[in-house]
Amino acid sequence: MFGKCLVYELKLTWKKMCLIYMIAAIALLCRLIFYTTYDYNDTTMLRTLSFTTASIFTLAESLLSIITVFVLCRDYRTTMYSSRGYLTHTLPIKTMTIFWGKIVNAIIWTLATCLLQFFLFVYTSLIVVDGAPTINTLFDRIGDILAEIPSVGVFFMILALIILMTLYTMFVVAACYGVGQLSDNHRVAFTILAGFGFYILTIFVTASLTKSIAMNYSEHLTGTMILARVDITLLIACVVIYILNHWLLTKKLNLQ
Amino acid sequence: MSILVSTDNLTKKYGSNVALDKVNITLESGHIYGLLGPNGSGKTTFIKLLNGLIPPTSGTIMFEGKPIGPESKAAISYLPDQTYLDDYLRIRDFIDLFKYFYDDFDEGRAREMFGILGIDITAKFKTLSKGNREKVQLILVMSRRAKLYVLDEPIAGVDPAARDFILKVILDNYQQNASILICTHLISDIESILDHVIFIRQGSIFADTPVRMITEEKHMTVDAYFRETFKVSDPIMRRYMAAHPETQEASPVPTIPETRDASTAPTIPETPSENNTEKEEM
Repeated sequence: MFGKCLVYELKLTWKKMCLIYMIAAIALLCRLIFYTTYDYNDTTMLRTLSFTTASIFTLAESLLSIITVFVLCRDYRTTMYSSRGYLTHTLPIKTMTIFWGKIVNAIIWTLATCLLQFFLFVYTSLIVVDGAPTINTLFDRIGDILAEIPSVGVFFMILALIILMTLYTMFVVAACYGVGQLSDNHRVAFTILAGFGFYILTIFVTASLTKSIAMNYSEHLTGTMILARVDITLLIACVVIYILNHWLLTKKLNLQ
Repeated sequence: MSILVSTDNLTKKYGSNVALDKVNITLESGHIYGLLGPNGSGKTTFIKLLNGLIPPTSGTIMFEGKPIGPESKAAISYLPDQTYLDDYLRIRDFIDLFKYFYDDFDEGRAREMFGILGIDITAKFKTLSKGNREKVQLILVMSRRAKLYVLDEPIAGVDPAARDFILKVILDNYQQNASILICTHLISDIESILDHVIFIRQGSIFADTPVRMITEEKHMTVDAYFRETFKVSDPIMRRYMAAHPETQEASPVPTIPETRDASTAPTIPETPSENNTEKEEM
């Protein structure tokens, strides 16, 4: 059933995500065209156009992941806790299977966006250096960046970190909505309050972790060990918030 | 006949507000039940509990002897009292969705009904009128071969012609061994199709009886019986009428006879149209 759920979620989301990616692609294309035709001797009009497209592209690139997370969170809320939740929660599937379907879908799209953002970032930097780099140049540069990672183990730890951070973000967002729906009359206020609470908690945990690493610095902590600590802390945080989400969805569901 | 739904002291509280108070209901297969009560009486809360949309505060609710879960959801076809479909999807997307998740969904029947109604299945849901939206949801729900159909206010908010259509769709599409639970406060419109009624007020069941007991023994329509019973038992109405005795004569609500006399009680109209006329005249 999980596979069925995930496939359905992916089908529902891909159109929206493609639209977002298309906007980013158009912005990049405009940026590329205007950069390659840019000339200091050009008229003010062309320079203004070039500057504008560069600004739009930079904005689109930096907003890409924010928009992705916003779209996914909005979809989660409307399908789980708004009137559309009546359909979601009456499907012949366990509530937590639906939850995991949505979370994994969100992780897939967030990672895809991060990857795209990374490619765009590298490509833009190459535009500045080479003018109009080819795809091969781009992959060569990415290969150089990956080669700087000391070992395969570290690579997987970085990958785990990215996945766990995404998972943590999605779990926290889901938990905020879950807490918000407990209130009959002040759902938005409760959601914001829960978000603030999780924010404080995250700062506290991050500060404790940083302090612990700093205090043990004399033990000659390697980068790998620091990464491992961060991964484990995130994993523990994810488990705790997952338990909270499980409780909210199975024991405290309050559709209105 | 087998027992589909049984509850044991089912209670639901929202804070200090008791929405359902120790409710014991049994629904058997092969019946059309009416869950009747005024607004805020606990009808929708009961239906939400039955569909697993909210957990009970205490007590239990079972479907075919098992707690509410994926198995019961596969056997219950639920029409909520609000729009629950995505505005930006097309009707054919909903057909695909139902076909994808519900094994008992009859796609051919759904397409046929949309065809009869002249609803374009390529149209986006948001472009439909309110009446057509209600019909789309009803067709999807009634195209399932479910054991229990739970319809929450299926005729509220639509014109009388649409009401007739909705009732016809309900009657034509459910299997004879299945049951229907219709929850509404528009009793006169649906009482002709009911064979069992459950009256609910302030979270408690105060009548759970076959319709023929009301029509044959009390010689009243369900609507008249409901009005009479509520008038007697509703403390707000009692206080109001005590404060305004002059309104008793002009009241559109049937007055309570001191002794129940068949000749003075409202009679059951032979056809639904007479019932409507009577209501208008009153």
